Amino acid sequence: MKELSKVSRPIEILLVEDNPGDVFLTKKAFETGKIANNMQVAIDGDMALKMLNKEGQYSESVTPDIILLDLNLPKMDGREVLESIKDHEELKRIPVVILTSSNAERDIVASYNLHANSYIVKPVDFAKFTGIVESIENFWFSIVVLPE
Amino acid sequence: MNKSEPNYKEEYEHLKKEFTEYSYIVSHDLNAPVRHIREFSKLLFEELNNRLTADCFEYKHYIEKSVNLIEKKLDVLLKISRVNTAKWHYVKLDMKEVIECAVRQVENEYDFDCKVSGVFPELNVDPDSMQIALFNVIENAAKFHKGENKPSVEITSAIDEEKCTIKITDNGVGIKPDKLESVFEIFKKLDAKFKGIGAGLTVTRKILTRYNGEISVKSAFGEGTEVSIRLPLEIVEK
Repeated sequence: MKELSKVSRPIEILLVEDNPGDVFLTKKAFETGKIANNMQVAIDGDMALKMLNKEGQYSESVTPDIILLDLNLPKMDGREVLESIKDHEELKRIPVVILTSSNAERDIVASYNLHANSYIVKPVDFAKFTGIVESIENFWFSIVVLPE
Repeated sequence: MNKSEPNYKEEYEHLKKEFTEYSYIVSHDLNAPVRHIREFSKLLFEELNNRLTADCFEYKHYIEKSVNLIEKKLDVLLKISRVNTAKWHYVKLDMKEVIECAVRQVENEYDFDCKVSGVFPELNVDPDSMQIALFNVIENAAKFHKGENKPSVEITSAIDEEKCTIKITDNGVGIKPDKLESVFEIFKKLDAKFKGIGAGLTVTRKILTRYNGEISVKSAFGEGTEVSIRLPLEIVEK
């Protein structure tokens, strides 16, 4: 496990979440976390893909190190977003963590066979987040070797 | 089939599907607002920390207690709505081992004596669901005790031609005859002094039904309860 203090730049997080309450809680949790991070928010699936592909007004978007994805989204469903990411030659390397509403929902999510890296039951807190990214192989490594 | 006759089977299947979808949506969609009440009231109380009066701590306690209860109930509703559609992984298992494993789980929470005896079949079951179904019954047997002596639970199994009968008998508080029917009703608590949300047997019956099994309850109020579970020896994978 890499130590958090050795991470050489803030981690870039893309939160794909349409519920303003959950966006607020997630941002709040990361403000108090022990690691520098920049969080961008996409409020629907369509916006998430435009940001990831740096389309139009999102041409300045930063490619995230990790994506936190809610599955129930307006316009384009979270499952479709994930499929598009995993079909994309470069984007597919970005770890995707699915956000679920309850533990009981986990098996439903798992049954979609979505190739997500992991799951977090909302609300997202910093301890859950670090627990998850530690289990993602090479996550900290990729942050450390790619300083800005 | 005569065209003028209503197709009850089709109607039943339709209603069953509709109910499953309905309970899933209700439990899923209510989850977010309840979570927000929990998290934002937590933030609110943190923010006001120094200014809280003794009364405020009591309000906080009731908010937390209620939110906890709603979340537990929503979780059970979601699980129940998923019993028929969840993917089960069937494995041939010695039922004695499955029962002993459930007993050990209950022993983590309750201090009770348990005797397991009889002839146990090997059944083709999904271990997780069968474990939950048995755990709920054994937990009840250990939980609803009179307090004066250590709960004692006896589990027996017998096999006839096509089925096995597992009986779980306790020396607990028992159930009044007019309340026997309601033990399978969701969120029905017969005695408020015992912890739980009143959903264990509802979940168990739902699971056993998917196995084409049955469950029944006999009781002598003040003396104890006997729960009988009947399972087919040949379980059809669904």
